[in-house]
Amino acid sequence: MPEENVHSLNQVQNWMQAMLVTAGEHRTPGGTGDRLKPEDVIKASSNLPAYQHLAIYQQSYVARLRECMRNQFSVLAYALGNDLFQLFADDYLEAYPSNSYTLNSLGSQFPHFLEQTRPESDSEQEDWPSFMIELAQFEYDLSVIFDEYADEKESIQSAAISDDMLMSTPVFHLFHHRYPVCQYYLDFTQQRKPELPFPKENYWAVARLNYRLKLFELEPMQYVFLKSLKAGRSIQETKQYFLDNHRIDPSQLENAWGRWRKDFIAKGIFTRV
Amino acid sequence: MTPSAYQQQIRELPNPGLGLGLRSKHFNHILEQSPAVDWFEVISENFMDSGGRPRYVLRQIAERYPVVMHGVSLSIGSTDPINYDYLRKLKQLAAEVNPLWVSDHLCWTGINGLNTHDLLPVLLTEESLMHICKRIDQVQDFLGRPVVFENPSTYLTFCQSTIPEWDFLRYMAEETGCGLLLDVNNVYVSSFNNDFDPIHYVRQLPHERIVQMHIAGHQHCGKYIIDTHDRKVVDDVWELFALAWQLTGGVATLLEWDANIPDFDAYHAELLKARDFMQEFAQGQKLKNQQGNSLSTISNPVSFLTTNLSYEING
Ligand SMILES: [Fe+2]
Repeated sequence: MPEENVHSLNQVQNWMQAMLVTAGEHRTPGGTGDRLKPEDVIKASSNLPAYQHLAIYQQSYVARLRECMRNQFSVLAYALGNDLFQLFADDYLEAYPSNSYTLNSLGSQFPHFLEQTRPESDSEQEDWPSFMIELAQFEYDLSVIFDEYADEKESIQSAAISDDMLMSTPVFHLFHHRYPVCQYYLDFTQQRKPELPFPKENYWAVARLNYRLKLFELEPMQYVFLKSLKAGRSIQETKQYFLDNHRIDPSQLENAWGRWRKDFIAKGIFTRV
Repeated sequence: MTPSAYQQQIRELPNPGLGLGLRSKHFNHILEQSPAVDWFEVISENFMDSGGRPRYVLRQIAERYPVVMHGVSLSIGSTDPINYDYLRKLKQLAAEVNPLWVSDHLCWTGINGLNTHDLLPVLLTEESLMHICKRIDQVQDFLGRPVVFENPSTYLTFCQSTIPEWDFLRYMAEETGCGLLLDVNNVYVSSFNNDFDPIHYVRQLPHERIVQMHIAGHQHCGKYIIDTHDRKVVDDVWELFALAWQLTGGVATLLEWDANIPDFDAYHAELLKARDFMQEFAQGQKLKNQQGNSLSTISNPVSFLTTNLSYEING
């Protein structure tokens, strides 16, 4: 082998990775975009020339990460349609190639990327990118909640327990969206083929109970109440916070709380302190 | 510890029998039915960052079955520094699961901080061998146990490579005391793609260092073969398995199935075919090519690398 064709381990790895990861032109079979050609580095076999050996890796690289993005954002892929989703996903993977040993976080920057590259929208009514970005963020958040570290505790079954013994279940998150992304998400998972929704402010909770995710919609006041509990206030303190900050009188609040309490216990989101 | 101490540990590893890969699709079936499988292999990365259901299920399964941890992200051949954040998590999971052994692949997955999430082929040169052996020493010392390395499926040969892969694996084992995982399907796939004789490959390996075998299905694409893990094992691979079984004296064997995964009983039934080939010796049999149906042509399908995000959502 001529001297100039001897490359260090590091050079070979740099070259090969560049052929897989960097700009799309590298990925077309035979595309080089580099001083070295595939045949300088890779042997031809009896069946294939050097560039086609490389192309097997190039094609697998793209296909594998696309598939991972489709799994991580399956509802978004439905909402955008596969072709458009793939365009965004491909651009994203070029802009943010994976830098983690785990594929779990492959899509972590995808909502941010969609925000950065959002198309100009000329009308408030047809602001579909906003919906897509909210949906992407929610879908990614769900994957994080699914694997969140927490010792799950048994939910309280009966209402016969005093308020000071109640706390929200360890894996519990609240969402406030401009678009009904949670409803859309649920509709999709229940094969209801949802259509692109109009904006409508909404509040939801996601609880992980028995290692399964449970989604349910909240009234705005319930959201504020639970948010206060999540911030570490007791139920008593939360009630006081409510009276101080919202236009509600004590009897109204007691009434509402009685209703919510039953509802929250039935949904399983309270556990014993 | 010294390479000879690791080698001693490798020699003393048990043969747990015929195992299956633990896949999220089968979690409920395994927990409810406790099927009579000898052992399970788990993809370390599917569990090491989970504080949710995958980890919870794994803890229960590890109480009932012997478990082996199989990784895809060690990147032992990379010229990047060793990722100790990853290794710490791997060690933590091993402390929790108490696996019979911990394995990964002879490959690199990326450099300059990036990860291609593929098992890329290493340069088979002396420089590369020294580099890899040094890293195996560091990894084994950090984990406090020998690591078992698998021959990956390869789709290219570097012009510069001078050492046959079977010798490379032998030197690695001799230098570091590491164990070997012989994937007979990968041998078959690599041999077709890179013009070598799979029988010669299997014969040349240091058989006493092999602690485990993999068998799997692949996709024949005419001019090349892709290791898809998405179907039954072809007869040629079974015959290679029979040869390897004879030469190793029989070691733990696992059927990999990572895409288009069948229900548990069909998966188990395919594994149990291995029994038919344990007695047979395929000496000198000519290996023929078999055409498979076109299902997928992605090597190391993504489900091999991530948990299936099956949340069981309730509204
Ligand atoms: Fe394998």
